[in-house]
Amino acid sequence: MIRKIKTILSSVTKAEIHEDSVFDNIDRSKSVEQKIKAIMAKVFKIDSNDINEETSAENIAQWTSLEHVEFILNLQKEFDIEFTDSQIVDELLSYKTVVQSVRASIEAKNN
Amino acid sequence: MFVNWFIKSSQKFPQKPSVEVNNAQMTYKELSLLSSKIAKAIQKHKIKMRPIGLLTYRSFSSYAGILGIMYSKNIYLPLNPYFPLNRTKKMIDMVGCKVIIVGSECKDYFLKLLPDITEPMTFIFPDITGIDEIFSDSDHEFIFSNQLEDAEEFREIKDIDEDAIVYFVFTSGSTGEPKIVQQSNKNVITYLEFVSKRYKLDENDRVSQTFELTFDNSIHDMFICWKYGACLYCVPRNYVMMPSGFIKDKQLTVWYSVPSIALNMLRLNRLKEGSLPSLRYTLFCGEALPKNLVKSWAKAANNSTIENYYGITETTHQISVYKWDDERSEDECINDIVSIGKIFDGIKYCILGENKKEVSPGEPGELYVSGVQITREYFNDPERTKMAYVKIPRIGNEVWFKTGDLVKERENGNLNYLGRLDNQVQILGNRVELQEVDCVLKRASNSEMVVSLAWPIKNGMAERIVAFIAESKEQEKARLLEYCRNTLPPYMIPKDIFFIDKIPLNDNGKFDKQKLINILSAKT
Repeated sequence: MIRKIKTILSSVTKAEIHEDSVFDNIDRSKSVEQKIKAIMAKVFKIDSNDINEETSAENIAQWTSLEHVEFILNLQKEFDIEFTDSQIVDELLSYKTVVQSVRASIEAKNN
Repeated sequence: MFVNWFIKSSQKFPQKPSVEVNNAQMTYKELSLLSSKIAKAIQKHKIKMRPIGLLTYRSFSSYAGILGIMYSKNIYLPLNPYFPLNRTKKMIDMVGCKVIIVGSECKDYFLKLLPDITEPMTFIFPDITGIDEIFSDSDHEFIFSNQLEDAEEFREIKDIDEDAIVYFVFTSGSTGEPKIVQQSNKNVITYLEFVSKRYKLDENDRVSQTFELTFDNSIHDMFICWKYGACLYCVPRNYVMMPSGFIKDKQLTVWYSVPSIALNMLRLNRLKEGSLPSLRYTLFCGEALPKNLVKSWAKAANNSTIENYYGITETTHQISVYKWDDERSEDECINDIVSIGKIFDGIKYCILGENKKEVSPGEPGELYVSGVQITREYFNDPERTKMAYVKIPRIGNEVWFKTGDLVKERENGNLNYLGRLDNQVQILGNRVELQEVDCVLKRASNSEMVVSLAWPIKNGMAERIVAFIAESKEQEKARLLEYCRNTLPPYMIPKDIFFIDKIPLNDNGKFDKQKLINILSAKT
């Protein structure tokens, strides 16, 4: 028991609020579409060649609410944009709408 | 009995909203009438203290269903349309339901489930007038909304057996079989009475309902709210992971959730100073609460009291609470995790170390609890009951629940949670026995060399489960994950599976989890 307690105590890592984008290896020269596909492939563990206009949270089993937040964080970081609440909750749920929203956000940022 | 709290409020505030679902509200009177109708349909079957399935999802039928089942003095079994069909079928069989209430939002799921239900069953549909796909020659009985007879509102539920079970909660079990926790009227009312006194709410309060009904904390949301005639705001599924807009739009005054949800808000930069001014009370439970998260929340919800609850399903919701204080609480954190505070009055506890001997003050040990709020046994499971509900003759005659949690007590009586003594982890506040995941993966891969881990641990919280498999007969990751999706609830499905040649062993010949964690760290 005591040994077990010691093991647990030594393995408790200090809790810190930290951000780390898991995927920093996305090629910057790629198009918006290609970058989005690359992020989707990494976060949802799917083949980027399988992503098309029809791809959505409805037909990707791994696109759970848990992964959705991870996905949004990666998109925001990659394109240096910030989505609104309603975009996150209601819109960014398919490849097609993600491309549209990202393009609109980039445009808004540049104007 | 606490169901009378709702009835009293429905008499006092009949025209006030009792619950809001997807922007539609039901007054206390409307909800009371629908609940009474459902209760009347159940009572026709002359059943009492029998399990009744509730296949609904964040809908009016959910709340009317729960109240109706309680009015009829039966036991509710919450079912979840996001769980695999196999698991739902197993839950129904394990407790022996003969009646199931089905909400319109679960119609498609119900139609997939129906062919597997062989025993004759009565299905009650509070908001469906008919389903074309159902054959009339079936052995089942179908009661649609237009066949539900009008009923007088229930005025008071009397002669309640305090030991009668109110609902079943399925929790993860290390043998691969879930454990069924049963909470009695006495357990629940003891909890609710203690907790409800902590909050001064009234009929103008707007209270969140984030928890799934399969998570017993949902009872707290409903009945603390309804006791005071306040309105319960059912958080829609897509808002649960990112509810800041919902809190603001609805001007919620009470928020209760697992910390992971708040952490999402922090990560998405939604905890800006003064951004959640409507909140008066914020309660967290279900996971270790990181200090920095509370500090950010305190700035965003600048009018809110913040409390950290601790408890487990077997103890009937929470058994300790800690009120965050900007001045002194930081000093009471350990590993930057907020204290879980003092054990409630009326619950006996002890902290035991080796040979079940009480540890010296301030030393870490396992928490044991006893009292009327604590459940007495698992449903139909004497073996696992014997392991968790124990007697400690040296201390007295009572039965103690062995929590499996490692804690440390401060001089002032506040406790700190230090971790688990077994393989249990919390994913979004849901209990997961990693052995249950191992068990499913062993079946799917036909290999014994399976280890699942909570990974990554960020901010003191386990985010996901990942698994390592050696010597697998099935090398297709997608097929293994598909098998998991057909067997396990969403939060228990591994995010990733890694095939390796050999699982590393430690000096004792056991699977070396630390080495596997090192492999994962190296990968990222």
